[in-house]
Amino acid sequence: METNVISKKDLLELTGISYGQLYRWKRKNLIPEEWFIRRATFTGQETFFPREQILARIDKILNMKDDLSLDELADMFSPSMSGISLTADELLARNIVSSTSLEVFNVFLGSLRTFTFQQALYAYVLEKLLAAGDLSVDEGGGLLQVLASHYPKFEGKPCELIFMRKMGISTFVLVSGSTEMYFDSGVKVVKRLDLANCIEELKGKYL
Amino acid sequence: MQNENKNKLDLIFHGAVNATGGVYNKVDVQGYGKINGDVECESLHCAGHVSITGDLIGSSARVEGNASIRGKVKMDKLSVYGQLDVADDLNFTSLKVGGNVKVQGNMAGEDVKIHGSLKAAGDCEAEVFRANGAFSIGGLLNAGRIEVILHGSCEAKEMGGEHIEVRRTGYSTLGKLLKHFLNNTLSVETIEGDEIYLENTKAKVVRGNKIEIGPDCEIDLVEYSTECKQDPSSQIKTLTQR
Repeated sequence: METNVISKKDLLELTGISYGQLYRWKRKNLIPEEWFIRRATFTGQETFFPREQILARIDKILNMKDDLSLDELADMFSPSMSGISLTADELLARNIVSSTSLEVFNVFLGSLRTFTFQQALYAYVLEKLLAAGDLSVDEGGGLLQVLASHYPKFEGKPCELIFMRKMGISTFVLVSGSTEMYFDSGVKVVKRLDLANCIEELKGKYL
Repeated sequence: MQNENKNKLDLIFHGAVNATGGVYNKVDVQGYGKINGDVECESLHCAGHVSITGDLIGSSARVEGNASIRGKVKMDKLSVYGQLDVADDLNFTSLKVGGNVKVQGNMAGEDVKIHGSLKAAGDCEAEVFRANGAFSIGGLLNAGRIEVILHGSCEAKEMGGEHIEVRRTGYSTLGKLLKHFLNNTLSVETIEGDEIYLENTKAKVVRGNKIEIGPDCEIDLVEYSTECKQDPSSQIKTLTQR
């Protein structure tokens, strides 16, 4: 049996939740349909889940369900853009971006007074990469350009940002979820970011 | 044919009429109507025959005749006493099926009441699912509370929820005579829930916390965690506690 999936039975035993809870969360879209992997086994069909993702998600739901309603949780997990907007000061105050990243953002996308959720996401991704030391300030332009001009095309579908370098030249690629990609040996993949995760983190800071 | 009412128009059919889609206040079909395109309306009443080539969005609909919708349907309150065919997904808050509803896609809503027959090719999600008729769900029937009284044959690929209850009807005199010809059973591959009570059910797997298998069930595997009761007239091939 593969180790990166977990059967429904093992999941319930491990987390201590009941079938009813699992089905309720599925109905409320707290657990995405794509995670229910159906496979034939000797007892008939069984449902499996991607191990890491489902365990992290259930952990989050269990921790937060006392503070937030299920609908609020669903909003947080949904990859669609919520209609909230924030001002630059609020972004700074909530530690979503640092003033350095905000300056870089302003240089490339112009100085904004209020940020839509999408723009806040771009700034947040920029901040993440800059703070981790993966990205230089000059490279920020390439990042923001690819996000601003291509991210809306995904329309909330899961996608991944890949940041790679070859011979010191940086490239950014946005790919739709779970695509397999192979590079030549000269390419160094600096960072792969699942944007759905970024959205979740960002929404976590919003609330 | 169209009266100005506040800002939105009413669309009223008497006789055979072709109309274009759009935003309406009230759509009332007494004869035979065909609407090209998407329709958004406050209320839809169909006593004749209506076919819509696009999506239908609105707050309440009552179908006493025959309606077929080529696109998606999104209705808060939907009651069907005649026949409704939906070629795509169906979303609702409350759905009452007195006649016959067929959905080619998935259906999701809060409250489902069935007195007639429901057929869905995909999944069906609801908070409360009460059936006193027949249904066939091609995918997963997922509801907080599932209460089924079996009339005719019911089937689903999977069922899941907190509380699942399946009972047969009390037989009438006619029912007793026809008992062996009528196939009043529920056939399902897997049933998973917290509390499960079953009668007249054929299933491969039943999993849950508290399970009671009532009369006339045939189940290959029962997995329970706290409690399991079994009626002697039922067959369970394997019973395990986890």
